[in-house]
Amino acid sequence: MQNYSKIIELIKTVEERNELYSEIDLVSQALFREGELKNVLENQISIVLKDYIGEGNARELISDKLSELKKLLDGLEIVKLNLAFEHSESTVDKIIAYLRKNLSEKIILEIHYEPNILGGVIFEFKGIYRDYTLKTKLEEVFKNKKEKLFTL
Amino acid sequence: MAEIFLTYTLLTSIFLLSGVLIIVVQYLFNSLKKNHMYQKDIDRISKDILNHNQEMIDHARLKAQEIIATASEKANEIISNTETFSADIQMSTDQVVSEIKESQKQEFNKARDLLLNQYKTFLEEIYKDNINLFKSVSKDIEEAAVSEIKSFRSVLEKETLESQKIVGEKIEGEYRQAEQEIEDFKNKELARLHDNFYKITQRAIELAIGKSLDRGLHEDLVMDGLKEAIEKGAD
Repeated sequence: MQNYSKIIELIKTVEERNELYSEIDLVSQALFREGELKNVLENQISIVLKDYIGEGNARELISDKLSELKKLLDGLEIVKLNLAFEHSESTVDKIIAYLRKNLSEKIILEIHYEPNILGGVIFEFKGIYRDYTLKTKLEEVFKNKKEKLFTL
Repeated sequence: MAEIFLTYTLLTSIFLLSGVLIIVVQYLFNSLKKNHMYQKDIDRISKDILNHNQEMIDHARLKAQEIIATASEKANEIISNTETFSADIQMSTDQVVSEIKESQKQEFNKARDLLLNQYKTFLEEIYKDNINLFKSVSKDIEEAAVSEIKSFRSVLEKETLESQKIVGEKIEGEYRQAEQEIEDFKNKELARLHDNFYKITQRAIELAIGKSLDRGLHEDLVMDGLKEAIEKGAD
């Protein structure tokens, strides 16, 4: 169980989850090919997955572990965010920490870069859509105070 | 002893068999003779039948020739009779036609003269009547014309006034419509001008804000947005 939580901590975005899916498929296929498993485990997968699988385990045990991990990854919940700037790893860390603490521990992010929103964020989760962008706020200001602005 | 008996028996058998053979040969000979006679009879009868047939055909041909000759003669006779009859009819018909023509011509001439006279009389009468009629009508026409002219003058005066009124109203309506159109156009152009000005101003502010925000400010805005979303119930 500790292994699971460690691996989930490390998977923060949809891209990272997809990469892990690919690695799981690679190991699953190698399980049934003689002599390939060792090569795959040593050279073709990330340290995260390698640590999770462990060393010297029987093929049946590895297969069971991979199935469990896949199920866990399937159960992660996606938050879609549109940002006006190109995010860094620290930005992702900050956002994910906040959302996992306040929303759900199973959150991962799907981030889109959209510079025309100027600033702020568009947030989508389980069918809920919230727009907290500067562009929208500015539009509201101009819409409501248009007459006032022109009289200045 | 036995040999003598056998020889005797053999000779006897040969004798008997020879007798039987002679009888069979005699019978065969007779049969052939009869057959020959029958064949002769058949040939003779066939010949007779053929001759008889030929005779019948010849007889029929002669009979047919006779019938055709008689028929031809009869036909010629009928045709010559018909021609004679037609010539007679033609003659009598021509005579009748010429007589009818003459009689019709006379009748037509009489009828034409009669009609001409009647027509002449009729025209003279009409002429007299018309002169009288024109004399009485010309007065009526004069009165009617005077009255028509009076009524036309009054209608014309009335219509002129009405037309002037209608034209006046129409000009006024069109003037009002043109005035409204100018007002609408003015408002529309002003709104467009305002809108463009608004857009330019908004874009300028957007550009200014976009350039002025650094990563830290961006992150703060994002975090503020997320807090607000969760507070408003995103889960």
